[in-house]
Amino acid sequence: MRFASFAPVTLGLMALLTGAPSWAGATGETFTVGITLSQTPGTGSAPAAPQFPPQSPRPGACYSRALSEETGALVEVACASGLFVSIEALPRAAFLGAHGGAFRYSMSTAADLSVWDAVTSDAFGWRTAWGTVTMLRLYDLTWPDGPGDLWWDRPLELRVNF
Amino acid sequence: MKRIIAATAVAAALAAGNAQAGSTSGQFNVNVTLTSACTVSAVTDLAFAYTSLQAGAASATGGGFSVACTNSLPYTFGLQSGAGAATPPGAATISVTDNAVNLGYSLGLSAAGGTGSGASQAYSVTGSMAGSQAGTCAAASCTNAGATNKTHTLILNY
Repeated sequence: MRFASFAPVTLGLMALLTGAPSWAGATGETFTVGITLSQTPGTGSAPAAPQFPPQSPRPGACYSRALSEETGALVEVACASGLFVSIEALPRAAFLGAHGGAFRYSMSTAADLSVWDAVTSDAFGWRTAWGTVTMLRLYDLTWPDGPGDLWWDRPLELRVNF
Repeated sequence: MKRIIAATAVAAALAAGNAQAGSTSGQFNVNVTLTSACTVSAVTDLAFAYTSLQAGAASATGGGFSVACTNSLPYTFGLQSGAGAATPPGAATISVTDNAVNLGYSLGLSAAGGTGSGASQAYSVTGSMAGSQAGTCAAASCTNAGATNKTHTLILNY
């Protein structure tokens, strides 16, 4: 009596069906991935307590998890989705400090804000939106040979998170 | 005269050795069965040095390994998360979030595979960690020494 093994046939059919080449063999080697995580310089001190604690977060709202007015501080904003927004120092730009708190903010009419229902325009052509700024940072963008011939012309970049 | 001829024939027969009635030849083969094989060296562990929320991506150091395969034998590489039994062929890339420092990274390979030359051929596992990740660390510096998902598997298919 003869016995036929179906294993090779089965493996061959599987290889054909999957389109994969038939391999003579395989071998595995394990390796590890080591990580050293360091904190950003300047964040070693304890940040001020968050002004908007996330005990009862509104859906879609983001809250500052770290708020500091220290120069060079880094502010992290946590969202309910688990994502976060971080504002980092601009390369080569003089950092003028971070300021946290609740502020009203306004935006220029240069942008199309027609979809903003809560936006109003004041006499100066500025649209004021109601909201809460949880963090802002100022950067001095004046380069040694850059624009700004008068001290009040020094261009600043204001980064806000709301 | 006849005696001289007969004696000469006997002498010639003696000088030529044994008399053969005939000859024939047979051929045979030498059959060789070569089982192709590959060996892979240990993979040098990869290492990331990452600063929380850094702007750019970080590349891992290490990851080198070498393969020696039978001449002309094609082979491919695959990666597999974890240290469990290898399930060929593995993936070209894997993404992992380290469960100790909460940083995500991806691993790839310097080549998809190659062809054996009989000699050692060098390759590497590559690692990249995206920027702007905060990570989790309660001190000024942390390592993932306590991570339970830091070990992965390189699979060599041939």
